[in-house]
Amino acid sequence: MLWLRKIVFYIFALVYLILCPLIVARMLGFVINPLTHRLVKTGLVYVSTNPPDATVYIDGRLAHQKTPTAIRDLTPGEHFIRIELSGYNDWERNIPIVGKKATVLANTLLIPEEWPIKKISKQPYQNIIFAAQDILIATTKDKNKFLQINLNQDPPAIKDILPQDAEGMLQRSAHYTQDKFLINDSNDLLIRQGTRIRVYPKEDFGSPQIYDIAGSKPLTNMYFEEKNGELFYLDEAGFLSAVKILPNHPILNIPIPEALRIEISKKEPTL
Amino acid sequence: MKFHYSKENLKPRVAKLQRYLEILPGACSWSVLLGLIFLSIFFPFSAAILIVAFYLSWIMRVLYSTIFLLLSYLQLNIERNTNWMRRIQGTCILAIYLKENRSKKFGRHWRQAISHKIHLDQLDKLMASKNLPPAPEDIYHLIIFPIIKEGRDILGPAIEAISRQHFPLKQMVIVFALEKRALPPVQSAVYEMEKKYKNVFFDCITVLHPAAVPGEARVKGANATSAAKQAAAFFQSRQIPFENVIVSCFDADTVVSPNYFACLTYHFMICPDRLRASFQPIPVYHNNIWQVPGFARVVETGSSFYQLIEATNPEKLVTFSSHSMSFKALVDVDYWPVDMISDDSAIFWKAYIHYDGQYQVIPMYVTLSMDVACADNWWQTVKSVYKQKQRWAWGVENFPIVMRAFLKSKKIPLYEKLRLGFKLFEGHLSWATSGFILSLIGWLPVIFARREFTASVAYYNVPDIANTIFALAFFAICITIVLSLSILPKTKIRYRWLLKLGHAFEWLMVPFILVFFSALPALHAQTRLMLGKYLEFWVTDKQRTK
Repeated sequence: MLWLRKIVFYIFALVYLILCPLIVARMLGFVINPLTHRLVKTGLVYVSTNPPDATVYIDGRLAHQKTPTAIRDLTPGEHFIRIELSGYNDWERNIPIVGKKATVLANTLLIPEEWPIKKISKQPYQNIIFAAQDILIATTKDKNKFLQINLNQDPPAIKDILPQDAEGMLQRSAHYTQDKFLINDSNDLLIRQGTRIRVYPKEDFGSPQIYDIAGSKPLTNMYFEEKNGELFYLDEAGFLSAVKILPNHPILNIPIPEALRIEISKKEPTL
Repeated sequence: MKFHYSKENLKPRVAKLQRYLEILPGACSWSVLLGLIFLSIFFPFSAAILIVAFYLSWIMRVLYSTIFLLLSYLQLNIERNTNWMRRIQGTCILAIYLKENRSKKFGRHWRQAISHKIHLDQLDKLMASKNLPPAPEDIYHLIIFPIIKEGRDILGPAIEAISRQHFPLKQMVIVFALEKRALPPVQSAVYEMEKKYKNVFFDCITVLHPAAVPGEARVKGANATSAAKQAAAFFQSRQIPFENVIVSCFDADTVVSPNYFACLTYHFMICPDRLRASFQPIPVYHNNIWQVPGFARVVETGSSFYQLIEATNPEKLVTFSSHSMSFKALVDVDYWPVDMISDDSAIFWKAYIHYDGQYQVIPMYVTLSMDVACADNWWQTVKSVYKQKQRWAWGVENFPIVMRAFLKSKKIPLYEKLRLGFKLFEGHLSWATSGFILSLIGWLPVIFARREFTASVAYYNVPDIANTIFALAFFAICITIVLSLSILPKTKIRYRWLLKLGHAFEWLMVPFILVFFSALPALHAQTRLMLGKYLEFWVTDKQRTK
């Protein structure tokens, strides 16, 4: 047994001495180019999408795994990436790859081919005001009529409330109006420009595209319900409507590095 | 070489060297752990490279060990039904026996064929050495049981197992090494046993070890030494040469298999340098294995497997727990150390140094079973197992003494000093650090990642490489589970398969066990040695269902 142990030990030691530098080099992004047989520096791109399970093509070649995925062994330079998911617009960009570096496309928001807009109210409202968590107060043309909308229920429950109760709720609430929301783990901006509600992907690559979602009644409030990724607003005619911006999927991702967040915040558009 | 194998009564210069060497293992372990944490926070790239290199070396070691665990287990299985008594008788008439056996054929019985091949090789070596053994009827066994708090329930089965040996009982002397400070019920139980077995064996005697003897610590070695000295007088008075006596120092809970002493005698006889050898069986912890919490079962099965792996490497094998050795060697080296806790490994080093490196440990593929540390409740058992592992890890106390001896010795070859010194040091270092690196520190570069690291390829590749390595380790664990299920004793319960299935899942606790019952107690022991807070002997709690 002793001689066998020695032989196996030397074999394992030899394998380790060969494998260890190769694996460390691989970890750092060095691979052997099969054509030139030389060690070359490579980079990778990490892609996660919302919703997940999208197919990724890089330079026209299909990546083995669906999102979230890391595509390795990419030579430095520009690479064309396309993300496809049924029911969503294709996401396409030229992305730069740097040797030994990772390019991160975290939580890439895929834009649906058709936005799923739901009309909630049967009558037009004057405005909606945020009253409490999942509670909106709607005002009507009749100044003495107020409605309480409970967003916790599906479909949202709408009931009349007394003006004094409504006023009490509104006084207690932090009365604010908002036209700009950071969504999708702070990767995208949901904005209103004039009467148009739009999504603005805050990305580093190429010229950012703005996606139009819907039209809204001028000078009214919007409420973005973060848990379900749903936006509540009054449409052009004043009907309470909801649009799901983010599909209700658990998002598996590596936390976005702080540095990337800083980069993103620098690019926020001025409204 | 004459060497004072102790940390006590040293000259000031030697005492200073001893102290530096005591600090070394703990300081290195802490440096490795803190260094990796520091690198993970401030230099994650360097940390990631080191960690990947470590993971790789670890998985190579795991796979390498798994191969030899399988081979060793196979050999244990092969020798399970060996008739050692027949082999002993044959060894007496070596030339005729060899001639008869050389032409033996086993057909499809490959196990017997392998066992026979090993046997023939051993006989050839013995024949070539011309150092023929004494006749089996002249060989005596001295079995010492150091006792402090073990009652009849623990000691009874141990003696009972010896009384069922295939080897003649009238060539066995049992010595109960009883501490004077043992409680009266323990003392009376021991004296009752002595009376009961007096006529079963060649003799059965009780040696009372007084408390607080100057120069002695409260350790098992002191008790065993006192008993061995009495036994020496016993053999001298009966004119039995020490060369013909094999001494076994057993924990009180040691239950030997029926062929243990026959197997031991055979290995003693077959070993050309039998007077400079210890004989190491495979310790298993089956006495109460189904009565202890799952984690304790996994810990102890792991210990048995470690010994099985070590058995395949006699060049680096060190005695552990219950084992046997030549009584002549024991007397020559002046018995066990009386001020050290790790008497089991210390006696090997003491003999190795005394004989200038001409001492070896012979592995024996025979099991002896002991108790798993077990207390009244789960939490007490956790503490008991932890303390036992800490005591085992306290074997690091040998490192400074062995190093001093190696520095002094001119006869032990340098290569041997380096080989054994490195094994001793590296063994303790990896014992105290591997579990932490694998389970905790390995993830720190990713957790503490800063911008330059998170934007690197390495940040995404390290978890992938780690996952691949752990998947390979899982393969090794699966093999261990299968072996564990086959080696554990059978139980007489209705849903045995359910129990076995449960045990298979218990192996999922390995990462937790690696940290809390391996690395942490080892680091604790090394830190205590480093700080000079020497460990005192603590008797493991042992319980069995009656």
